Order: sequence, then C-alpha cells, then structure tokens
Amino acid sequence: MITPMIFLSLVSLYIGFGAEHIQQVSTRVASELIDNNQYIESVLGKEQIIGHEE
Amino acid sequence: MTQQLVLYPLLLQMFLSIVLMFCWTKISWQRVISIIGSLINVGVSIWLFSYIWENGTQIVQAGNWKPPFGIIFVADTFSATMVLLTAISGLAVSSFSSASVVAARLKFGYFPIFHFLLLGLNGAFLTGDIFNLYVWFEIIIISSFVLITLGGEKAQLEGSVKYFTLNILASMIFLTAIAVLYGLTGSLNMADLAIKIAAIDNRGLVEITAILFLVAFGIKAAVFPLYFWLPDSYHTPPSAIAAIFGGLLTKVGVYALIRVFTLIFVDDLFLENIILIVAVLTLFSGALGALVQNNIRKVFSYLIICHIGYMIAGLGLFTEVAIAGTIFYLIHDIIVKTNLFMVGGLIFRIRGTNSIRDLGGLYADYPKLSLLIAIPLFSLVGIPPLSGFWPKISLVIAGFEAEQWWVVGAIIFASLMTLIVVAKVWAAVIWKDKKELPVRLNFRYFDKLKTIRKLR
Repeated sequence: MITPMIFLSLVSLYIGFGAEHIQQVSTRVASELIDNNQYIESVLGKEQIIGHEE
Repeated sequence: MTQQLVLYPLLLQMFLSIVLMFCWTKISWQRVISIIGSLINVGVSIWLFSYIWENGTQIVQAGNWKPPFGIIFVADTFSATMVLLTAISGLAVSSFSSASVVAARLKFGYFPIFHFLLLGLNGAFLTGDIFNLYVWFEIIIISSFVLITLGGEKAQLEGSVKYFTLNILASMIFLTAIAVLYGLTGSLNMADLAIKIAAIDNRGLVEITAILFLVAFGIKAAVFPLYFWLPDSYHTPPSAIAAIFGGLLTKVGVYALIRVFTLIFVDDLFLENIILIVAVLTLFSGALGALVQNNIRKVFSYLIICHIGYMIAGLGLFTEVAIAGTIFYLIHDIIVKTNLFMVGGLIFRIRGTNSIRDLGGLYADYPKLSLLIAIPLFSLVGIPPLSGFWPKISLVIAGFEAEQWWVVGAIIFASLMTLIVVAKVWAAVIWKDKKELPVRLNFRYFDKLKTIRKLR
C-alpha cells in the first residue's frame, strides 16, 4: 500500500521542484488553447478553414 | 504506425479489460496483469506525449471519413498531458488496489471495470467529436457506478444513488445541449463547431446552449451549486476507488469545460463572467464545507470542490497566464488528490476510523509514514516550493493583470482556508495523542453470531 503513495509523492515533488518543466508544458497548452486556430487547422486542414471564412 | 499512436492508450485499456474478464476467477492473475498493463500504459502515454511535443497535434479519422463527417480522435498537448496523468494515477491506483481491495470485491470484476473506466477517461480526452465525448462520458458513468456499488454496503448504495442520479441528469442536459448545437450548426466535430458557432448571428441562443454545457459539465466537475453529490458519494467506496474518483473523475468535467469554452464558445464576456462567479462561489463553498467536516474523506471531498474553483477561475479569467495556471493546477491536483485518498485509506487501515476526532498519534507510532503523508498535504496547501504553490501564484498574477480583485481575494481566501483545514487534519491525525478506541467488530466476528443467537 505504501509503494504507490511513495510513487505519487515523488511525482508531486517533481512537479514542485521541477516546476519549470511543468510551467513549460502548461504555457504551451495555454497558448494552444488561447489560439484555437492551431487545433482547427490540424483537424480540418487549411483549405476548409479558408472555405469557411469565405 | 506512429499515426495510430493516438489510439494506443484506448486500445491498450480495451485489451486489458477483455483479458482481465477472461481471468474472472483468478484474482492473483488479475492483480499482476493490471499492474503490468498499467506500467505499459505509462510507457505508451509518455511515448504519445513526447511525439505530440515534437511533432504537434495528431489526428486519426475513424473509418477514414474526412472531418467534419466522421468521428476523429485528436491528440494535442492538452489531451496528451491528460492521458499521461491518467496513466500515472492509474498505475498508482492499480497497485494500491492490489494491496487494499478485499478479494470479495475483486471477485466481482473490479479490475476489468477499473480498466474500462480508464478507457472511458482516455476516450474523453482524445475525442474530437462532441457526441463521441458524450459516449465516453457514458462509459465513465457506467464503470464508475459499478465500482462505487461494488460490495453493496448500505452507505455505498446510498452514495451511489446520489452519484448516479446527478450524473444521469448531467448526461441528459449534455445530450440536450448537443441536440441544440447540432440543430444550430449541423455538425458534431468540435473544430468545425468552433468555426460555425462563431458565424451564428443569434448570440442569445448560442449563450443558452453554452450555459447548458456549463451546467452539464459543471455537475460532473462538481462546481457550485451542483457539487452536493460529491461529498455524499466519494467517502463511501473503498479508498482505491475513491482515489481514482477524487483524482480523475471530476477532472474530466474540468477538461470538458476547458475544451468547450476555449474552442467552441469563446470571446463572450457574459459567459466569462458567469464562469468567474461560479468559480468564486465554488472556492468559498468548498473551503467552508471542508472546515466543518470531521470525516477525513469528507474533508478531502470538500477540498476537491474548493480546488476545482481555482481551475474554473483560470478559465473565467481567460488569459494565457490564467489558462497556464489552470493547466498547472490540473496536473498538480490529479496527482495530489489521488495520493490523498490513498492516504485516507491507509489511515483507515491503521486506525479503523475516518473520524478526525478519534484519530491521533500517527507520528508517535509511524514517524516515517507521517513524513510521507506530509508531502501531499502540504502540496495541497501550496507551501513553496511544493507543487500547489506555482499554479496559485500564476492565477493570482493573472487576476491582478485582469484587475479582477474579487477573484484574487477568493483565491487567497480559499488558500488560507485550505491551510487551516490541513493544519487541523495534521494536528488531529498526526500530532495529537492517540485515542484508545473500542475494538471494531469486523467480518471475522460474524461467525460468533450463531453463539449470540443461542444465548437468546
């Protein structure tokens, strides 16, 4: 029962002490979410976006 | 091969569930398969995350139907992160379950259902289709309902009725919202919806549809005033099940809220203000609820509600710093809450009670274990440099930048309340002198019932 708690505690410590890595991930996710054109373009392709805009 | 990588976390969980069903009566096999499968799942999720990190968003079209007509699976950095966190929590809970869940429960398909639940979670994170998201939500509800009732104790059944009723209501509202959305746009593809919704002139109808989504996902995420099912149900199942529920189930609601309100319903000041009000009230009600509870698992349940408020506040502020804070908080919260419910289970195993009043003396008896418990508890408070500190700072900065002083005030208030609650738990469970409790009547005493009947 202790092993998974130790494992998650280590992950938790990594998130805290290695915060710059997690911040990097969070910032990238945030920029992708704020600029949703990246998502739309990946799914529909550029042509369909232009078609819709027209 | 790499294009299909998006589907691997789904296929692996489905494969594990099916294999585990063939080992229905072989509990020790199930334990081994579940742990090894979860370990492989962590590897696959790391592979997916690193591939997305290097190559950007990947999609898979089901049946090769071009979007927006077919169902698609999309792995962007957000969904890949969520899949990785699910895998990490899943591995921890799988091994915790092997040691803590009694054989009587495991015999009724605990592990196959557990992996079906993980399948549903991965599906919800990876789908690019709003109706398919609803289907994955249904898989999550069915699996979680089986897990919450497994064992059939009275408290469990009582909690599960509340859980099921509210979640079915959420599903009905979700389905209604999808129907309205389809009526408005003729599409179910989320990327396509993003374009078509922006072109609709009737903004009132769009806002009503958005509020339907807010209510549906709000029930699942347990935001104010739709949270009351959570503290009434999360303290009833075994701690391993509560751990995966506490860590991931409400977060799938938060994920859906973030996805829908950053992709489909964007740039709407009215909706942003509604989300901010809901966030602030969630922060207050969760914090105050946690303060008055005396059952350790109910305290943790109210803290889940309180901390959902932080994430929703970041979504409402809708700046890059705020959303980054929300994502950081989501990462921190999934790990810490999973760990906390496992801590609750371990304390129950040692002391035989969840009542804070009856607990105590843990440091005197188990000093190393107490230090281990300190990590998730103090991370939750956000004591620097532990994991909860950084996202709170991001959210406070975002609040200052947006000049939303009342949101900043609510965040600081909730942090202070969390500190008080955790200090109370720490003092009562760890520092306080041990209280001698009467011997608890367990299942092993049932064989004495015959003797008791004879004495009548």
